Amino acid sequence: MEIESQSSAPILDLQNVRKVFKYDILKPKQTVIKNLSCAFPTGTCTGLLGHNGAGKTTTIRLILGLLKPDAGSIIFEGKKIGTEAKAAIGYMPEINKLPGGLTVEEVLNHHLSVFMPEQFKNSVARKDAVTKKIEEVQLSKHRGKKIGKLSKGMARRVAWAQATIHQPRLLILDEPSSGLDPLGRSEMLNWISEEKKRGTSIILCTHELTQISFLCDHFHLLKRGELVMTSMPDAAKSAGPGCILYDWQQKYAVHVSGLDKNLVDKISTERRLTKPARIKETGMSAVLGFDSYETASAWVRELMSAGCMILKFSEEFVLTEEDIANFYRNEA
Amino acid sequence: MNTISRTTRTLSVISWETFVLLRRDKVFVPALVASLLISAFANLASDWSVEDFTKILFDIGFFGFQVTGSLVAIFWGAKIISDSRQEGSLEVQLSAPISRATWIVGKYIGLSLCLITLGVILFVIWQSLMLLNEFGWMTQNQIVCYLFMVLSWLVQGALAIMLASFMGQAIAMFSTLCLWLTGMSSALVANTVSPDSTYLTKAITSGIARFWDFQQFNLVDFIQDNNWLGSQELAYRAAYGVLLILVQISLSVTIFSSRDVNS
Repeated sequence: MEIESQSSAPILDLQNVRKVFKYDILKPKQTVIKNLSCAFPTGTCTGLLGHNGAGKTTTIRLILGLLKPDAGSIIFEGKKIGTEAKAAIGYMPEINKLPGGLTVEEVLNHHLSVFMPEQFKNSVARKDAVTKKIEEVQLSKHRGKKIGKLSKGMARRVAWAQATIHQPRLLILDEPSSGLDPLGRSEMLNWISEEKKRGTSIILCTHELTQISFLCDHFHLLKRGELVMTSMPDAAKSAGPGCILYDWQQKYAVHVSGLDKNLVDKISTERRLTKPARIKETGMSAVLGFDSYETASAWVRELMSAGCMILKFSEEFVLTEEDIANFYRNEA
Repeated sequence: MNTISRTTRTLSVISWETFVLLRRDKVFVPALVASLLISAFANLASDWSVEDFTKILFDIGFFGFQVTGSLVAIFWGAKIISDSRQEGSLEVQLSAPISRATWIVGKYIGLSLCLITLGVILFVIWQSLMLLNEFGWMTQNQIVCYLFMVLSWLVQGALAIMLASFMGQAIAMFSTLCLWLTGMSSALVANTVSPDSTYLTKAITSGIARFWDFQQFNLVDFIQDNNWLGSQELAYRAAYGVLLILVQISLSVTIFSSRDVNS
């Protein structure tokens, strides 16, 4: 199986990060993150997966500087992460963690003052930006309402607004659609998708694999504080033999039978088509992986003309619940 | 924008936010009502007395204000830190470009603003009461006495913040309360220790009274002109209060910065 190597430079790089919790003098220390090394490429959406207690939230807290690592370093845009670097990060926690006694407008106003003091020195400009964001998340009627009085769905909208109002370069989302109804989930997915299109790097921490499949370009799977599965070759290499490299990049898959090995080269040369990013032979058939829809559909036409039988042409959601469940069952 | 102006901006945002939250806190109005009731009681007691009307008014009223303000300062001090931790807003705020030192100092400034607001409102009530009783405008000594009382609230607020930076709300409040009572009684205890007590007992009680004496801020006994403290003594007492605040806030910053943030 051929897998592409990671090309873009990471916006965030965790290097041998270790975190030990000591809950009680009488209890032994607990290592919750064990020499974790993984990168989050710039401009992409990377999923952070794992069962409850795997260390996802601890990893996020380490990135945000809420917890201090016992070893290792966290590099953001080439420099060790510090207070100033956090101006470029947006964070949306799993549950509503905004001050209940402040109004929607006040929260966003204060947030903007802290994150972007240069651009929003002027209170009028700040107010305009806040109004625009409030309209974007459809909370205009509730702008004067205290956070504590909002419904869960509305509070999630405010959390999204505060995480993105300063146009962060890195957005960390912890279970962004937690507690939302189907409409709210769909809306949230669209917002994340829009943010991704703008080029924001995203770390998406979720249990919902459909979200990972829909939004993410890469993923890291944690188990008991260790990286145990990843879609990124570099991360898999640095994590050691215990980490499984998962063929994730197969975004558009053409399942074909009767494929001659030389045919791929022939079509590619004659028709000047980009070769498939990956070719996986599975018994009588083969799966050709493509990164773009256009290339994949052009290959379907050429393969059909060459007399091959197309068994399936799909957008592959490679990571399935079953895969993860099997993985945990095998590891248990 | 340089670091200083950015820090100043952040400090103003945190302190204003804290001020707004405390102003909307449920305790604010009951504190005002309690103070009004104390004022009314002091007024009645003064009316019913046969002499020293002003002294009785000040003895009862100031004691009431002192207790109310101190309790509010202790409650708010512990609450602003613990609430942020419990509701998780601490996590969101510290994930922003805000240093932990700025956060603690901002919280303290917000608390101080709110306590000063409470002090101003109570001052107006007190002055109205005096005019109602035809005692006239407050004298300079009385105003200084009042300001020292507000300073003691600020000291207790700093103490509560320091303890809440590493304790839960209930324990922080209880500990602050105990330390406040210790401060109120330390000089009294040191002065009344029996001459037969051991050297160690005397050393401990006088040592505590030297470093932890909240009676330094209680000037009610010196309010009469003939008994008033000199300006040097007043400056010393004010500096003592400011020093206590600075030490406590510095300790809060040190403790808070060295610990993990867990909500």
